[in-house]
Amino acid sequence: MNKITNYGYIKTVEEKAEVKELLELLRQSMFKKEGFAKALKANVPLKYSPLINLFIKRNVGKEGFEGSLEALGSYLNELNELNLTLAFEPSQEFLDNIYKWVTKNIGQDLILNISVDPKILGGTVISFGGYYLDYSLSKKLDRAFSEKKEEIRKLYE
Amino acid sequence: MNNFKRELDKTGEIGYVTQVVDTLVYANGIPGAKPDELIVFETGETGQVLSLLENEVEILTFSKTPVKVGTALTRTGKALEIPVGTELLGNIIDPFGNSLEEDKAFKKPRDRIGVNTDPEGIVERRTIKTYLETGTSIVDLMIPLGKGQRELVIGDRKTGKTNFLLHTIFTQASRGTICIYAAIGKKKMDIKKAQEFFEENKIMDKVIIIASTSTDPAGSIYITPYSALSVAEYFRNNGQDALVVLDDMSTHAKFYREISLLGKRFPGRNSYPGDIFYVHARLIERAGNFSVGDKEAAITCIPVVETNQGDLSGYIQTNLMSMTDGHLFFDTNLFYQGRRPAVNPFLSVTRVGRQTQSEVKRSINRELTSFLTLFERVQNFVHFGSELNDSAKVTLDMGNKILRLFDQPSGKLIPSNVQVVVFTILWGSLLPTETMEKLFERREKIIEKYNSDKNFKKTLDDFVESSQTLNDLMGKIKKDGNIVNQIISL
Repeated sequence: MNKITNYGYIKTVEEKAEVKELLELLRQSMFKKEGFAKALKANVPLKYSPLINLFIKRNVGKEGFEGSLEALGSYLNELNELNLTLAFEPSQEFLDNIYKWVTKNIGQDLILNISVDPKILGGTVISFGGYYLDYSLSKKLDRAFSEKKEEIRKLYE
Repeated sequence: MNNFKRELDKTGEIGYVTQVVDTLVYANGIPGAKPDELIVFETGETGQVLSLLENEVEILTFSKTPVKVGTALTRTGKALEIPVGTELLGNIIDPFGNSLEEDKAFKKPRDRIGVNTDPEGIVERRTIKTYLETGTSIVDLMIPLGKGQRELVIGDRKTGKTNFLLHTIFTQASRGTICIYAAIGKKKMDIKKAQEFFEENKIMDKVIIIASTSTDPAGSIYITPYSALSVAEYFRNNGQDALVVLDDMSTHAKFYREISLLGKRFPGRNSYPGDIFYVHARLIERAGNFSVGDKEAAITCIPVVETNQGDLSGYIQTNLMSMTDGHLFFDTNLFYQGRRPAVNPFLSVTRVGRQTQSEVKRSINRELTSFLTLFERVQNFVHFGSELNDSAKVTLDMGNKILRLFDQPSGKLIPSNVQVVVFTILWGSLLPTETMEKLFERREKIIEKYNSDKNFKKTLDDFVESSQTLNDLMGKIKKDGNIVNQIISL
């Protein structure tokens, strides 16, 4: 797994996809009449501008604007995804808390891929680096029911 | 889906398909994957790990429906296995043990055996000593086979190879040997014809057909002969002899070449991968004569390979010739001359078959080989249109009679000792006034009596087995008026 620093501006795969689209737009704007500067001002949302500024400042001297955007594109591809399945749609605050915990305890180079599956009832299913960990409530209940099958049957009778 | 979830819970490892190249799939994740490990996809398909790359796993899929990019998969922690048991007898199955006959009830056996097992070592192997009867006179007398031998059947397409193989299976199944016919990438019609042949001759209860059709994925076709040998190994481990026919290995080589080229393996001679010899050798080496407990049990393997215009020097052909204990060459020229089976005894070889023959059969073998060589030479003189002396005429006459004797229609089973006696009658001119047609009629009657009258069978067998040479047998038949009268009265 590549070890790079996630500057904290991109926390989820959706945000990564958004930035990629933005990069494509900026790349195309270089060859248009309006120009790159105008596109930067008009199209980049506030939350991503520090990230884009960071890469432009770092790379524009050596590689120019196009090189800076390519460097940002490579950086996005190197981010590793941690897949999380939840039983509910998380709020932004909940997401931020998970992200903080993950970057502190697992690694700085991660972003979250959140999917929602109400069938798990609660808890979470984590899949990362080829490993799969099922901490869902539905699995716990399945296990409990199969272990206590006879007792439950007697209750029903 | 249930299988996928169960394996995922067990191994705790997951991967996702990143690239699909026809029958090969590349996936990330599953860090604990090992070569040849069985993989299960979330859609229910299966595959086998072919190789481990830096960040990906290369998987050979076995399903007809292509797997989609993004599909989740997990490993199972075990290699590919096939269910084995006596329940397989009488059925047509695919290389994974599933029945191909939808209208027939099939109970899958509970025991399972690995498909890619290593061949037995030297300690477990025994000398080949038991004779394997094919029921075809020219092979039984001139190019004998033994139980545990690996004998290649080689020839152009449509020269009667499959007919000979079905005939051999018929003979061996009638003797109680378990027969496994592996149809590798064959047309469905050809597989159906084989099944009908076994059913008509009432031997289907001793035969298992393991089939992959030409429309099946390359992975399934590749695994077919390995599954066939695994099933044979099950019966061998239970002390039963098995006969495996692999029809045909040139198709197997072509599909393995396709898989290797898709997997970007470097192409070697004729674009075959460099390990094509190993792929076939580790399969053929699983046959032989083995010690099982205090008994012996044999797996006889008959691989088939097609040639192009009689070219025996092809890559796959020479590979297989070097890893087998001989070959039977089906000559196109003999086929066009009307000879059936079109086996060329001069270009055919048996390396371990002669040691299984009795003394008298070995003697017949020597006489026949030298006589037919002489016959060939005399035939060449005839082409010059020169005058023939009496000796040449006698040689030509006897040679033609012997060739007619070797002509055998498909489905006709001639017991080995009957072949010997009929040949001796012809060779020794013991019934000189008889035409060949009369001799053939008499042969039919001898076969019928041999199969129905136990005393006659015993007498004939004793005559043959107690003789040391051909001349000895001829002398005995001439002396014993009883046996001659029994034969003449038929």
